[in-house]
Amino acid sequence: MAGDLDTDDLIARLALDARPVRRLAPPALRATVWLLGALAAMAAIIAYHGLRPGLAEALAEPGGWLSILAAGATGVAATYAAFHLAIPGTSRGWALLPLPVALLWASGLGLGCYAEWLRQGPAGLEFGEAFDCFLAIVLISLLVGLPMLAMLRHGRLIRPVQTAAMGGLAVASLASAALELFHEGDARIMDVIWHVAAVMLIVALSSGSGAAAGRSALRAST
Amino acid sequence: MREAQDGDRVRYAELLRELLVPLRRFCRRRLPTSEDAEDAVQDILVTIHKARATYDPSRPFRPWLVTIARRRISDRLTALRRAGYHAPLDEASEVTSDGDAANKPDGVLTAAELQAAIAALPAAQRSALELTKLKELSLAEASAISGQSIGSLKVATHRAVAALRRRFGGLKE
Repeated sequence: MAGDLDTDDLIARLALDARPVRRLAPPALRATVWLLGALAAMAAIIAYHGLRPGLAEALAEPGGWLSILAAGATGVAATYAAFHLAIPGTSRGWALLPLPVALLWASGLGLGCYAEWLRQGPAGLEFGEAFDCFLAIVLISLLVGLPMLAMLRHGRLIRPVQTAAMGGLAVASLASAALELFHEGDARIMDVIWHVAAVMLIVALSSGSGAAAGRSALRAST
Repeated sequence: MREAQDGDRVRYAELLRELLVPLRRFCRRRLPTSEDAEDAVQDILVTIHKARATYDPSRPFRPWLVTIARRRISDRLTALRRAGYHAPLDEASEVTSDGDAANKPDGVLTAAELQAAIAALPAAQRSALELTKLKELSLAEASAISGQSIGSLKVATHRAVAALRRRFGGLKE
């Protein structure tokens, strides 16, 4: 905030501080660059771990590919949305872009849980190795999320919460998709619950930090 | 703005000064006092400065500016609400009993123009505007006098304000 400063003085100070700046590349291009980097990082992690045993069988099941594809598509859509939302003058409608695939993903997870419940009953709810999934999603999200945070920093000036929430959704859903390829889950309901919990935690954390960044965006002003 | 991005301080200062009149008008319409509006204008200028790398010269300047302006006005309204200010209706505060005087500094609206515009509104909107804004009655009092429900008074006032805003133009999205 500018406080009691006279507006003409403020303009003079801003003009004095007007060093040349590098114009940002178009948001779609920046989103693509980040996506390529994130996919490369995840591919490296998958290559290190190897694809999980039984992946082919899991994918052959009806809808087996659906959750990976829907999670990946949600991540891609949320990435493009976040990079557009961070720029003034773009439509707020970008926030709706990931909605259809996110709904598809959520309904696929819900159906999966229901099918597992019919098959295993309460046994599926036991606290097993599923917590590893949660940790892995959070760690991968942080790994690819930090560069994204730096690239989206301008979003704090105008749409801090929407930009950060969309970025959080992007990294967490991509991490969730990657995890399904290499992490040996035992296809229990608890797996799904931890996946969803991890995604929600990442989105909540990023939204919260976005809100905080938005509040302090003008404080450290000229 | 392109020159400002390239570091041309003189052209940048000129641009910011040129923006002052429309920005003050834009803010004054949406905030209760001219002090609040001036604070918002300063916040907008600082945001323009900090976000100047995000402007793409191949795209129109106005939507870029309006997004920033709306954001800072919304921040200011939030701060005012926290401090106990209650806007009677969303963004309706631009038409008050001293609307003419309030708009005078911009030189865009005379009392006669405003009166003519109000007179041209549909009867229900005009009466809603006069009761809730010009006579500053509460919605309940206005409802008792006019016989209209509080809900329809709100709608009519909002439409009246929107019609006046359309008529007098200014920065729009």
